[in-house]
Amino acid sequence: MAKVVVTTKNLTKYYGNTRGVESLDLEINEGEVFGYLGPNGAGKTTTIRMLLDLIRPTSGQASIFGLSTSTDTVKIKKRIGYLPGELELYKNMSGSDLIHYFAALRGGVDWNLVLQLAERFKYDMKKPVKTLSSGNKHKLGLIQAFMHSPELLILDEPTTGLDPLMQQEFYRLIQEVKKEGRTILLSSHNLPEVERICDRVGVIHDGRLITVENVSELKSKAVRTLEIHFASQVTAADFDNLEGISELKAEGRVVRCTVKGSLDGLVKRAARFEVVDLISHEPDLEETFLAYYGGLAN
Amino acid sequence: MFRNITFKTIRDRRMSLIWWNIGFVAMVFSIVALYPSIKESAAPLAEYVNNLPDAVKALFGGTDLTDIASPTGFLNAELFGLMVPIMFIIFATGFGSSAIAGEEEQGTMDLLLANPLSRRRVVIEKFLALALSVALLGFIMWLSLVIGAKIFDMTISTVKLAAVSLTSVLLGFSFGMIGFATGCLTGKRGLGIAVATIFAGGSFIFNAIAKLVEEAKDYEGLSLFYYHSDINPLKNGIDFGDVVPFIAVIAVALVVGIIGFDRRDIAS
Repeated sequence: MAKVVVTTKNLTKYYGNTRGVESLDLEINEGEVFGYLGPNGAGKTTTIRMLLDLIRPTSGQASIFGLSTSTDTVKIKKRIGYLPGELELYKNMSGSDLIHYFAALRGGVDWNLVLQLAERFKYDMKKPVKTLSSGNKHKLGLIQAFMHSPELLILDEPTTGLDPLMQQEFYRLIQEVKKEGRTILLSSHNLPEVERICDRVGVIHDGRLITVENVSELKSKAVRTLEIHFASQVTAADFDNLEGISELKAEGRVVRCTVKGSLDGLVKRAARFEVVDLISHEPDLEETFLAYYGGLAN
Repeated sequence: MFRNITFKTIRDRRMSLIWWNIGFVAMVFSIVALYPSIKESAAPLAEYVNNLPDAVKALFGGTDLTDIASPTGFLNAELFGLMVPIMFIIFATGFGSSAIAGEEEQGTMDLLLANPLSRRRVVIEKFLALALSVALLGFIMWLSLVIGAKIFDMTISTVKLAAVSLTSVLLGFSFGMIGFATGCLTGKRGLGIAVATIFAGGSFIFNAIAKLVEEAKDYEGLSLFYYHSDINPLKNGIDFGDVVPFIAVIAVALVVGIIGFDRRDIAS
């Protein structure tokens, strides 16, 4: 049984009468990459900011490393790295100044690691923050989160604004951190990203944790829209009796349908005909929710 | 400059600080330079001032205007009655109100508090930044006065100049702390400036009223301006008891700020 790093019990946050999150019970194990998945406004940032003690729970509690987030937050923060979802940096400083400042507040960090991270993300530390693109600001945010080799990383939408190459670099970094046995909690509204880098996923919708699953289970529930182009005319009847297929429409040489889980059956059936093109749209999170968790959430 | 929050906060405001200090030096010298010519026309000036309505005299912060030709009377009327308090209040209120709330409004508080620092420590370090900045401004003002008095042949005690510089600093600092505490409680910089301005304006007006209205006289000590103007530190000097009201306001505001900031959600 792995050690539990983050625990929330009945964690609830209301902003006046508006619900942030409701009765959240979450456990994140040491050494895992935990994806916190949900559409915008679902309560991901609210949860994360409660873990950081930036906002206080209406009821319930949370602990990190077995320490209470409300009474031992300073001790906790020594051991975590945080990237805010809405990253704002000091505009009047250079990246290097900013890192020096935060390093000093942490009582010093290994500067080689800072340089390594800057190198990896191809980030120029000398530039003033106010001249940085949002992607570069994000890199600076990542550097300050990783620079002290924290035991737990809490990253709110970490890949937003990163170009694809840098996203790959970020994914590699996550894998390295995981290999070292450190723990990562990252939030995302991007299902493929979470499938790719996470071990377990907690799905949050409308302030409630709907399910916590292994990524493989989640994949089996993912909803994809598929479009197959054939060399000759096909009919809907050619594709009947397939598991997980819905909203199937055949128009001339094109078949469109929605597939839940494995594509195997559909692909094998399609192989009876001459396939010209196969277009798979990325699983849509909102659709996945509506199709599979809608009933639960209500 | 990035060793702690205090130094970093002062560094953030370094251009503003430099200009404020230059402004104070310029203000002091331009006023002190007038003194030799005022001294020559002392008699007609005293007569003119004596004929001013009491209400107008009261607005000069209760300084003894008949004494305008003496160094003490001159500096009180021209600088310490109105100009210097207003300047210190504007400076300290702007600085104080944005110390916590400004960082929150800019959205940088999340990252700052992700570091292993208690909120109390953040408030205290920001408080120290305000204290050091307003003290620096007071020191530069005092130094300008001492040098200016030498140059323009004004005979005045450097110790008493220090006393009035201190009450000026404490007066501004006190109202600045009201803005500071409001910012800590609400996270709103504009509200901090507004609340501090209302307190400062109310305090100033009450001080003027207390000189004109008999019934208000007993309560004149409620206005902080009383401890700067009516005590007349430039003439009488000060002892510790005179600065207690300032220190009390500053201390209460700091405690309110610490508790207020510690209890609430940080704005996102």
